[in-house]
Amino acid sequence: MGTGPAAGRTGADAGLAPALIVASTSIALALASLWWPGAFDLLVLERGQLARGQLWRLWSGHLAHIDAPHAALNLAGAGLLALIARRRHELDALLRASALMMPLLSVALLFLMPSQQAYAGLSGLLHGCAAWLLIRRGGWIGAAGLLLIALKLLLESLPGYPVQHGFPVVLEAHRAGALIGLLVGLFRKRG
Amino acid sequence: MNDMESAPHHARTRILPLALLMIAMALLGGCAGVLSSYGDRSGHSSSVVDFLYPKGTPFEPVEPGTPRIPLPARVGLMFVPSSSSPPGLTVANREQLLEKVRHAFREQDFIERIEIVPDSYLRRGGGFDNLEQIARMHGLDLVALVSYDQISQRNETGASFLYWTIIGAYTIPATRNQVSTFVETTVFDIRSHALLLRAPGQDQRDLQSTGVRSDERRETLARASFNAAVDDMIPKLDSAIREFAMRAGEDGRAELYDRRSGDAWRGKSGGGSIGTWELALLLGALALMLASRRR
Repeated sequence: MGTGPAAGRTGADAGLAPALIVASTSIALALASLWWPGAFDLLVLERGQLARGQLWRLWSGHLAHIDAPHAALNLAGAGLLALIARRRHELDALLRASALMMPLLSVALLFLMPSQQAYAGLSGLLHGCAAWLLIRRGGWIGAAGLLLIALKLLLESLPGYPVQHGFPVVLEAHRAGALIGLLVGLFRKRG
Repeated sequence: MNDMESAPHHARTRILPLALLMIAMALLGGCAGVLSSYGDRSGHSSSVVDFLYPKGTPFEPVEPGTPRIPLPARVGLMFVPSSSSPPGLTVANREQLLEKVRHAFREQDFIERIEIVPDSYLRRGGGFDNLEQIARMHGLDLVALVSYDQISQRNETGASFLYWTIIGAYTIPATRNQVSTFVETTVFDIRSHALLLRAPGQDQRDLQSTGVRSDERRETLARASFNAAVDDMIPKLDSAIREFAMRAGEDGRAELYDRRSGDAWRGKSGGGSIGTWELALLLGALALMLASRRR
């Protein structure tokens, strides 16, 4: 793999086509989960169904969304992170890391929250992606960004933290996602 | 003549001590008899079956079909009315016990609220008509009925012959008090009258006491046994509720649906979502990146 800006740009361009496919598939699945209840039932990370061998839910649960504002906010966040990754010529690597972070996050949620029966949403993964990008960025900007994420997670864990949605927001997904992103980023950096 | 006069006198002097001895024996025997009745047995119970289906109720087959239960559910919790309460179990004790049961329900995420229904709202043999009245009044979906059956028994041990000395009745613990308690919580769907789940609890304990303190000890024992039986029931109730919420929809016992959306109930669920300020932060980061590149 080249190290110069030109080489990076070429790599990023090469990763653009699969990235667009992944992005459009994700958006399509997210929208389908909103307007077709059958799709939501098929995609949501559900403990019982997972135990019956429906392993795709480890990935698809992050793409299913409960309502339109939920999907809009998460997809907008994903779009911005994708733009940042693209500017850093790391979109392709981020997508591959996401494919790894999704099941890790799902398994972590199922273990950390034994009473949680179902989970849907992209925000856990978005936290993971942000942590991954920051650890890859390194330097004082990376450190400051990670500190900001840590402060945000701390703020969220305080009692009475306002939640803007009409459904219970699984804040544990943010914490687990950020930690998984950090670890995957560190592992990749060393590798 | 003297001999003839003295004969009845002698007889009187012989009879008098004998009569006094017999009276004394009878009195002592009476006292000891009060203390040692050679075992007695009493029972106190409230039956769900008698309450829901009192004698004379015509048989009505359960309507075919799966009961539809809205979740998170609103539950009413109550003791099944009974003509007699276990000895030593006051109204305050009963409320404390119901609070314990309520706590087991409250910890479940599919329970919206649970209300303790006062005894005065229920009438003996009131059946589902009575429950429906209460459900309408409190806006309930389900009822959890706590019933009990307590049997207490008293037996004298071999040492109880010392009760005849009176002092023995105060000092020798020769009375064996035994109490067996069985409690059960049964949860019914009010609309379909279907039994959804049940959880039993039981306890058996005994205590030796002196003859005079037997009643008092038996009351203490009855209260302690009732508490222990409820404590035994709580974890079973907890797992029965959990199992019901997880399996009822799958095995066809009931159709559980979300009362807010009308969709099938998934159990505790939630979504991962970011907020607008997090989005603004990301936008800021992107803008900074773009600005730094231009420079």
